[in-house]
Amino acid sequence: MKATLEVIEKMRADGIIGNYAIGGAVGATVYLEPLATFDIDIFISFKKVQPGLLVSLSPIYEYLQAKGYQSVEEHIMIEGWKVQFLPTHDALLDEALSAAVRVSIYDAETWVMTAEHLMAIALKLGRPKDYNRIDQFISEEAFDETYLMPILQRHGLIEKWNAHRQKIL
Amino acid sequence: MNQEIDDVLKSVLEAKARGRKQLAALPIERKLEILEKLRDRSEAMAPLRARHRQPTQILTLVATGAQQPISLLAGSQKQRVYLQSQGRLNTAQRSATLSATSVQQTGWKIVPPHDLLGAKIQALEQKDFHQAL
Repeated sequence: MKATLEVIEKMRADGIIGNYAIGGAVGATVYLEPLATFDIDIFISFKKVQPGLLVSLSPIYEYLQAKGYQSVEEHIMIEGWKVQFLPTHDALLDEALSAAVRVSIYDAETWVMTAEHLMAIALKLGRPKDYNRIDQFISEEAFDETYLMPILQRHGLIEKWNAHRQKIL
Repeated sequence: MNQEIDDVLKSVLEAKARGRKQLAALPIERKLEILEKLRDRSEAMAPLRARHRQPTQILTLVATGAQQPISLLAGSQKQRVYLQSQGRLNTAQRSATLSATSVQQTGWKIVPPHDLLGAKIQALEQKDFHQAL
């Protein structure tokens, strides 16, 4: 994965993408036990590139294809890992991207969403696997509740959080 | 007997929780190696799982004039899009994931980007599929 992360960091350095943050299972693995996943979710902001509702990934595809990386369905295969570039499209994801923390992995510098933002996103998505992930954060005490609660409040997720906590207690 | 079962269950759950915490405390590089192994094992099992899965249609949004797949800001983090079709839509079709499969093979109507802009996308974001379609 080191080589994959280096390519992504190089994309940022080359101005192909702006700030980015790893989310999804790989992001959560920074805080939790390793989670099974097929891909790396990279959240990016396209705001500076192309405002509006329709977003083109062409610059990313062109850059990577010129380097020999091929697209596989909705992913791009980079150094053995399927990578999916996901534009942030709501206030929560924008905030998660802004608040991402710098992490050194295999001596490569990269950006990862905070545990609390990963939890809030999972709560918002609300699929069974998202709730499982939230439960892991809770059972492994891998988050800071004083940081999480204001996030949930800002994004209207308190009710959902309380309902879920009630269910698992 | 019930107490015995409770005790066994409690110790198993405690052991599991301990194991999870130990794994979580590993250096990130080690955790990513494990994650990679989990992925490889999962991919090796994929053909087996596919046998039990209902066939689903995968399609690409081939927007007019687009050289590459396009990401749409629909109501989910993932690149999902809700397209028009000639006939009735089932749930899987409505939320078909964009992929590299040719849209022609699926019999889906190709939707030019301008049709997907504005009100339609907003309707999609509000999960109002009927209005959008």
